[in-house]
Amino acid sequence: MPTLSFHQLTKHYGPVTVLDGFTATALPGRVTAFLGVNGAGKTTSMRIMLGLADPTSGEATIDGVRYADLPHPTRVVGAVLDQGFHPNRSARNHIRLTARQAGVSADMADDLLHRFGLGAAAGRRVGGFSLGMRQRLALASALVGDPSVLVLDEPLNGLDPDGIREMRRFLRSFADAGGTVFLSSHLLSEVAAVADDLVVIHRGTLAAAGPVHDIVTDDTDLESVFHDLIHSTDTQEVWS
Amino acid sequence: MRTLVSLELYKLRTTPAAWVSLGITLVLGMASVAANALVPSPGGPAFGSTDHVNHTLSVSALTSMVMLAMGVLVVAGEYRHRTIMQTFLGEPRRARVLAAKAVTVLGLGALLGAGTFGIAYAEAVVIYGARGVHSLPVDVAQLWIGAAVASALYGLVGVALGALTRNTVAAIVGAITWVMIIEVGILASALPEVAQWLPAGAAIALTSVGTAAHGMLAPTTAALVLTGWALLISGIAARFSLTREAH
Repeated sequence: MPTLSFHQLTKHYGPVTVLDGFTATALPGRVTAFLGVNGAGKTTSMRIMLGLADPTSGEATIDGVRYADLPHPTRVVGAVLDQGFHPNRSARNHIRLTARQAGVSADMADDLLHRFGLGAAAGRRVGGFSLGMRQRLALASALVGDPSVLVLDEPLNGLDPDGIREMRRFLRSFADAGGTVFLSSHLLSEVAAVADDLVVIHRGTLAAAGPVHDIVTDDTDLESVFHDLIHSTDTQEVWS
Repeated sequence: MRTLVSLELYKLRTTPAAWVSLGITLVLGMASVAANALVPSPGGPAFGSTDHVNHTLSVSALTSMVMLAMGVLVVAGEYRHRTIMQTFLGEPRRARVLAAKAVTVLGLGALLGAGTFGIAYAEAVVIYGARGVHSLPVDVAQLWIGAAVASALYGLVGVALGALTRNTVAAIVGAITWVMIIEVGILASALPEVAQWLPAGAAIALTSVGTAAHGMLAPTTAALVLTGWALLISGIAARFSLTREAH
């Protein structure tokens, strides 16, 4: 199962440095939460990992291979970013299109939609979907190629409590089956409930990384630890 | 490349824009043939003359503009709906994606141009035949090929403009303004010797016979000039759009 690696990733947009030598990994069989305040560099890191942006220097790889060099990338990595949907395309046809892109059979479209609670909406235009339904459709799309890695940017946004619980269960089972999960979220309590490892980025550099139980001890909580981390200029490395 | 082209066709099949465009083209095309043939214009060409038939069969302007818009939508529409990220996740080599879109629109443009002209020609044969004109005095093969080529190349220009602007409204309004107002409305009368070498001038030369083609480029030259413009704009689009990040 693949390991995600960010190695000395630097990204400049004109005079603005978004990433500054960011280095981190996400391991197979683990749910790795990627935390940082707005503008810390989370989405840019993920976009570089997925070949949607080029780094100024450094590299992001999946088992040593850049996303763009994977023969069938969506069969290796499933991604949920803020990609959109054509409002006039049905959910079923969206899944079928994604399957064609991945080069896999589209026969599972209805089953996949049913699994994510969208079976009854399969024939409906996505333009009429709620935010939560779109999130579930995005995750269903990410799974079309039966990937071994999930890269998810704020996948819990818009989900109701039941949806969040189902998402947690799903991510847990995906990682327990050996998959690599790398997700960003601002919902720290939800992250704490599902993540095995944390990667905290601040101002484009690694602020902390390691197993959750090493960073969040019994007498603290993730929220206070996160607050302390991003207000400290000292980089911590707590991988044991 | 075949897979990417089939994906583009699937995208078009599963959204209404292409079907609406096809319906509008057929309805307007057939209506314009009937109107141009049957509604007399004061001081216009005699019924059944070369100029009259040329005017009647002038549906390639419609199909060319429809394909221009379609080309824009195929690229800029993906940025508008943010589906371009899903496209690039599936095929990270962006040049291949842009090439597939170009090939798809070229093919559809040729089909739409040829198909619409074929329907227009059949309609014209019936209308003129009913009024005693049984042989149309135009080079039908030239007009037919011209309609297919012009529609395909305008589609390619649309793809390029869509890639450059990533904005459907800006690209379509800008292109129509250039063609209808600047080229046809101003330059064609003010500087005809220049206008004939521009995209709209070349397209008119390619799809016209009789008086409308006087002073214009020869059809083969016009086809080459229009191809040159389409390739030039496509090259500029490839140069500047492929390295920009997709959002």
